[in-house]
Amino acid sequence: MADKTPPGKDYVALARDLAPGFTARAAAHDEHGSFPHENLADLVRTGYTAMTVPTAFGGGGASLWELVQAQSTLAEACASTAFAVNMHVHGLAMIANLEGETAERACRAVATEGAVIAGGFSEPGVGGNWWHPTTEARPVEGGYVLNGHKGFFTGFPGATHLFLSAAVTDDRGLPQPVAFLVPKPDRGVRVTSEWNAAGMRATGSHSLALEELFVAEEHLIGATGALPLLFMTGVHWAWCSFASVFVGIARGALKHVVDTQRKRTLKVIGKPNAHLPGIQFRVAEMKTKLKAAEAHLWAAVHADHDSPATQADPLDHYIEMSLAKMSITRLCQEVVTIAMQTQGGSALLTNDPLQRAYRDVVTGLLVPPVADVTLEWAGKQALGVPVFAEPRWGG
Amino acid sequence: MTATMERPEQAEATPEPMSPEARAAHWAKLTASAAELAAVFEQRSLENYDKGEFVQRNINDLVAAGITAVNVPADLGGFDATLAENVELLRLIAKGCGSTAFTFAIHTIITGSLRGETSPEVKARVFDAVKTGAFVIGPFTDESSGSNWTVPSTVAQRVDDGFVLQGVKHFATGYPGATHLLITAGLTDEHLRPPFNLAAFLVEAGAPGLGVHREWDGMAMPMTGSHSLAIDSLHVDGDDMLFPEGLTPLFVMSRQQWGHYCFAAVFLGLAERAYEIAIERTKGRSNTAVSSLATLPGIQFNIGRMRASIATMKALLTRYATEHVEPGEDLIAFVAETCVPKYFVVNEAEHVVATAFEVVGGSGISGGTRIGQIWRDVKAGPLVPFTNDVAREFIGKHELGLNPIETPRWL
Repeated sequence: MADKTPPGKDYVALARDLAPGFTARAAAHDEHGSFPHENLADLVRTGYTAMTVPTAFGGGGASLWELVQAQSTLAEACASTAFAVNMHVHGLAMIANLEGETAERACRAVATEGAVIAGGFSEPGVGGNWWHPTTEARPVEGGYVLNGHKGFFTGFPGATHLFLSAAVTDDRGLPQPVAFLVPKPDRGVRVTSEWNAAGMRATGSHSLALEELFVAEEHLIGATGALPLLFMTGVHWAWCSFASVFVGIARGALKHVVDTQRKRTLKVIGKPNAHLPGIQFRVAEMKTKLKAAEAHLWAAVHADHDSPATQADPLDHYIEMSLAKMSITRLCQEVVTIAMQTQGGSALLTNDPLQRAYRDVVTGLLVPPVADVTLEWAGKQALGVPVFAEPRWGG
Repeated sequence: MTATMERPEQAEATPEPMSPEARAAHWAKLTASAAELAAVFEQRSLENYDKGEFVQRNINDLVAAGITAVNVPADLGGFDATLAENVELLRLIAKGCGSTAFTFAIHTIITGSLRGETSPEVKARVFDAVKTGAFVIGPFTDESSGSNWTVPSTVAQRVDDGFVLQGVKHFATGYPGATHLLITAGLTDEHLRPPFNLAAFLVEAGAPGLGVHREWDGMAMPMTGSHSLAIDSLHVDGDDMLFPEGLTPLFVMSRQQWGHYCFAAVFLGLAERAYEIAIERTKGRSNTAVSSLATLPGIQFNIGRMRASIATMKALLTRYATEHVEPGEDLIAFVAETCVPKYFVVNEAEHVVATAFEVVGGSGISGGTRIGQIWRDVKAGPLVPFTNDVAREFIGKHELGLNPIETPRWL
């Protein structure tokens, strides 16, 4: 995979340019749990949101490596903003790969009209089993009527379009997953609970009810039932981009600790704290774990995603990418935890960005893919146990 | 010792470099041999680990397969392996036998390092020997030095026709199989202060004055023959000094990537084998209570965790062995950077092996099992240079903008 796609904008440089403004607003949005509309407006205005739209449709055609670097740079400044726009930037790359009129319409809307997509698979009662949507899509004249509930709908307040997964019941009475990409409707979608959480507070990850929501046929994206396979083959866009946000948080935490400890002087030692062995050892732990996370992210991004062999075994590809995301986010969470210990009590003060990083980075352990499902699948596959067999376990 | 200065006639003409196709084919052969030999070495490990017998047969096999000669420079007709290629070979060999891989790592580090800016005379002398089966080792830990090579206790006294060396070296890994040794010592000249008094000499095995002070009897890596050596009035010629006076410390630092990445590769290979053993010991097995051990979630989750850890270790080591190879302008920064994969991998490998041990269960703890051998071997990881403490000091100080080699080290 090429790291740089012509003729392109430098999206990493753009992220660096936008970062100071996002940093300045991060604490206030975190405190109030407000959605960073002005940050999103900056991302749309500067063309950042068109990063993964194919060049044929007027976008930047950015590579995954560019995307993860840009996203980790944004996350260093404001993790919530990076995470809120993440569904949009990686989702678009996956949608574009689906081809078809719906995908093309969405891409052009992003490139020319500033459209922003939010969406997700999370539903109450589904856990990490996203391939079993409980939202029902009932076929009607000219389209479908959707009923169900969506959780963690990150970026909802700023979205112009919604990506919605659901299930239709086939002739045999079995649920078949489907997906829709619809302009944000005026009715049929109700916010049941506004996002108010300990971490990633400015992501607007509301809970929604879909109530008799009519979706026209033309908004169906991908073939019925094909969604899980399509998602698995393109999953590197999702899991690598998720991971990149948490790498950004960890990198920011290390920089903050190093900056502080080089300046902070204790009277009893008469020198900056950086001279204390305990501080040095913890910084070494942080740096080492961060480098391991970055290297795994690099390897996951540059893995063989598109060869016939990979495409022929999408489950293996999905598991490898899931393990990467799990390992990377674990390491990043450890980096920030050690950062708190290194910094000491002041890290808990609300004016210290570390406490926000600490609350934000833990989200990495919780966002898809769920670690328990990843471990189950990775273990079963390595042991030659059919991944989807029932009953799931023996003993 | 001067006899080895004679270059064989065949090395005079610069050979044609290998074509990319020939190189790829040779590389495929080398990796296939390494993997095949690893299986043989594993069998021998099961037989000899508890006896602590030196891995001489394995070293002979590596020589015969051409694996010990991979670092012979292209201009001397060799394969001229990259650091990443050396790392890959070590990883493969370590899956069969930690002692063999660690012993071979010493030879790898020295032969890999002695290319580059080393003088043509030194290169010819070392690699002409390596081409014909030489096995080179380099004990680096001086008596009472706490493995801090900047303050050597072995001394080199200047005499009319060279130097006389005196001291004790510990952990002379590979000594029973060595044909050549790289021996460091502090020059006693008044005008040189540590670490700039450090000098390195190439010595042939069996030289008078070189003897075993104490035989190796290790709880981990028992078959490495890591004896303690007595260096008693060992005479070396002036020509045996490998680097110009005062430059040895710089050489050592600028080749730290070899030590760190090659050691890391050994412990990564051990962890990978532990993971494989955990799977082998589970797949298709049952007991009176469980019809298939592989269907137990506890085992599955542990396998998943190991798999993730190994993927991270591999990614980190591969990235460093390809991207962080040239020292660049800031040597201290480079050394600190090279500590990162070594520090991460040896410690993460211990976790992986401990998890594999859990999966294997009680049968692993009985004597003579491979998982038990690996569990012991992997304990050496944090102790080999740079040790955990030194790695943390280097990485941490450098990241905080302090000089890791400045003294006094602490407040």
